[in-house]
Amino acid sequence: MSFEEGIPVSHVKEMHAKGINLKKLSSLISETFVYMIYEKGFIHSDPHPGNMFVRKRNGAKSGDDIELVILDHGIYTTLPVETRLSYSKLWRGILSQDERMIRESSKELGADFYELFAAIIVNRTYDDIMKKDKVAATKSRLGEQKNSEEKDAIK
Amino acid sequence: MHILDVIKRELLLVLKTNNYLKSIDSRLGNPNNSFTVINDVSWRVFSKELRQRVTGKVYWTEFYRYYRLKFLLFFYRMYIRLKQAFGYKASDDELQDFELESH
Repeated sequence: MSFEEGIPVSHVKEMHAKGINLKKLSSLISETFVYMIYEKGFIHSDPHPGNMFVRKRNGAKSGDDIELVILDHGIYTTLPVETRLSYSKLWRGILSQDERMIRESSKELGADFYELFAAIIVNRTYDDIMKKDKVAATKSRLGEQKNSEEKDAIK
Repeated sequence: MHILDVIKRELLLVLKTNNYLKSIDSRLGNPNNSFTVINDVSWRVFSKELRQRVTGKVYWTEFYRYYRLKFLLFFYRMYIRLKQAFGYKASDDELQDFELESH
């Protein structure tokens, strides 16, 4: 155990004042956790923003050179290899809009209702995920929706 | 039937992590970043570890689709930049698609 310095990731204003590159930071966080889950099958059990600190690397001048500190390593869960591979396959299916792959991998994960399952995972309706003409528009296909009309459509 | 009862236990934590990542991303003003990352990483896993399990046809289709998506993303981003360079304002949706949103 050790004492670590840093700003909690939830304090956006403070980080902004220190000149930390927020986009870089969010990429760093996603890369770290996605790598842990998809490639190593290793899951931090409480990854809330207060458990992540950010700080500039020793002696760094610019806000690009940052370090992420992850706290609270009390509980970790390991994904069995099969689950991890099926889950990665599910995401490939979602990103490349392959219905067969989504179906197969949801079944492997224990969910027969693949349409609903894919919808749960990305928080969008299944129709949105499969919109053929909008492969590249990740906001409208996979991003979060804010207006109430879209939310009603999901209900 | 309760959905969360039938899926594998470990996935619940993965779903939780997904939600946290999404909220962190949007709070830091980079709302679609985790999808870009997932695209790369899941392709890496697919090509390294799943390759032996799928037929050649499935593998190459997926290969094509991964690079097609990357290519499309690249060109879409260029298109938005060009549009802005010529003084047309991109819509909010387009900006969010490509993480150009400013603070």
